[in-house]
Amino acid sequence: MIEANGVNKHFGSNHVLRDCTISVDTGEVVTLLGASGCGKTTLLRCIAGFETPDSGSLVLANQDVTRLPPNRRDVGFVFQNYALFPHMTVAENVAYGLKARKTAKETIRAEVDKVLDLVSLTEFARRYPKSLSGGQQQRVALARSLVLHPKVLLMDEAFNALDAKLRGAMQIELRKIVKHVGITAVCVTHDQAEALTISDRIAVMAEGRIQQFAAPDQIYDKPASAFVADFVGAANILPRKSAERFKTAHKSLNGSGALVIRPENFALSPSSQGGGVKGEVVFARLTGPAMEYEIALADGTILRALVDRDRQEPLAVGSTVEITIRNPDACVPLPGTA
Amino acid sequence: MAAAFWTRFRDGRGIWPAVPAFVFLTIFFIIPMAVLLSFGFTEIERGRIQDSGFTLRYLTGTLQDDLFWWVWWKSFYIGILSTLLCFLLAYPLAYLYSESGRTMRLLILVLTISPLLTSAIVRTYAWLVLLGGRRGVVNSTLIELGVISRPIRMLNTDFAVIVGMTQVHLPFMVLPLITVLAARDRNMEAASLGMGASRLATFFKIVLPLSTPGIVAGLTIVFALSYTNFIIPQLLGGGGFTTLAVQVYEQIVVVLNWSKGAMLALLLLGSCFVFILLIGLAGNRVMRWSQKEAA
Ligand SMILES: Nc1ncnc2c1ncn2[C@@H]1O[C@H](COP(=O)(O)OP(=O)(O)O)[C@@H](O)[C@H]1O
Ligand SMILES: [Mg+2]
Repeated sequence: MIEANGVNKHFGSNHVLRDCTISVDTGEVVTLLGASGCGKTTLLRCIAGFETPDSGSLVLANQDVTRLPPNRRDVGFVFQNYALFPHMTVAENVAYGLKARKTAKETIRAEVDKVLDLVSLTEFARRYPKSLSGGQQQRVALARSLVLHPKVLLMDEAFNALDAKLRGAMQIELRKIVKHVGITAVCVTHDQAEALTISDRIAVMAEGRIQQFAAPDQIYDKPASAFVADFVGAANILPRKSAERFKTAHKSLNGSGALVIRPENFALSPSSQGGGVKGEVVFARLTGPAMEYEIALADGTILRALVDRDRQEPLAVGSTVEITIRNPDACVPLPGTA
Repeated sequence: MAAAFWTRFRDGRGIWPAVPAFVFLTIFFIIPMAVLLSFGFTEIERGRIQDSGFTLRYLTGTLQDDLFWWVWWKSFYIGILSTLLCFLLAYPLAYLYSESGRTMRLLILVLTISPLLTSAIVRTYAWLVLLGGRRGVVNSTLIELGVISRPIRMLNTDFAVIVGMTQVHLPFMVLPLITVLAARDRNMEAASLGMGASRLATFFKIVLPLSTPGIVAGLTIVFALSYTNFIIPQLLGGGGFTTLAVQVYEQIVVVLNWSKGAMLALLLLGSCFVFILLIGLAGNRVMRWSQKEAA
């Protein structure tokens, strides 16, 4: 449905997008994930047509749209601050695009009612955006795009303006609505939890480059680089030399390069019996269902470990533990790194 | 109670920050103004209050005078026309400013503000040179070009007064418009264009309504200035030309009928407030979306 091929973009001497290539299937939800300033918004705006790439091409629904203006691309764009028209009611905002297309009045009424029902805003139709909560405003913005039945829905940091609690609920809500409609969507976020919640596939970006483009479980379980491993979820990235220490207990820890071990993949035992690596608990924190520890090894390396509380009684700071790896196959070697 | 009062005073909360300006304005503006306007209700001759009695003679006399209403209408339509003309000229300029790069912005700002550095009277005299009889710049140019064969009467007409006022008051329309247009959220327009609206529709449905605060400010200031200006009508309108503001000037300075002048001034001021209020109310009506609704 969407294909970006080798897209490059400069702002002056600032090389913002470097050979970005992604391809999104029909009905798929893809998230561009990366730190602030890495070029996510710029790539999204290129797809929307608000920016033109310096080189590379964009294909939407088998049509080359690289040089087409936004209004001829059949995409819906949800802005970071929603860009709702403050002087129009919710219903007028949603009807705006249909009116611009000279749709018949009755059709507009029916379509607006239908989409407001979809996002559960029927009773707010006559209110002005200013009197709505952040979550409601976001759904107006979503409805305003969906009512035009675009081929592609683009959303820029759509959850930024919401407070933390509401954000999680709205992400699930959004995923349900988008999947219900069956629309192809590209979202932008710097929040890895959000990306994991809403996406079928995630494109992790850094410094204008796509670092890895894969399904959320692939990104988490098989990160392609130290950057991706660190950015998505918490990760211990052990240099090969430190990793070798675990070899006495785990013969199968092969491969070359640094080793990525997720914190929940460590087992900590207070007694010393099984040939694991010795360490000292230097910090302990309750995260809810689990305890998170920082453990210092003899050479000064600090490891992060996450242990479910129903698996083990909390360990005290200062206690000595023996560290083993629960599933050696879940560790990811990063060839080509130390 | 007293302690709370003192704390508020010391911390500069409540109305205290406004007190110095209020005291100043009361002594040097409100009281003199009230004294002047009160002359409209007393009998004055040769600068002396004749008998201290209160009279409505000037009020009823003025309101029953057909000439007064005719002069009022002239002031009103001159004021409205030059305000609208200002708006039509200023809006595109302010829009251009908001779309321009840094150099162009600076240029527009300098060109807008620099006329304010010279006296309005001097600029009005310049129009005398431009519009004046056969030798006027405009007429002689048109004759040279063969567009007309004999000079058109431009000076001493409504046209001259309106043009003069528009030129002199233009900066006061441009500045508030620049402020709102330059600070506007461009994503609104991107959203509108993205939903398939044309550039023109986007301008009229999004940009224009959202610039209402600047429009109201500009219309208010320029109308008040045009409606009450008494110099430009005298210089460019010629001897027979008169507006309410000119009448006030003549009654007080030339005829020395202070009572009549004060009454005219009161009516000029009062009606000016009414129009400004109407512009403001219309603006509020357009801006009703900005008021928070009860949830
Ligand atoms: N219109 C623009 N003009 C100049 N530089 C820009 C513009 N838009 C973005 N940039 C620059 O491009 C880089 C990437 O920006 P952006 O795509 O907004 O990042 P992100 O959305 O990932 O935070 C930043 O360094 C930013 O300063
Ligand atoms: Mg961004």
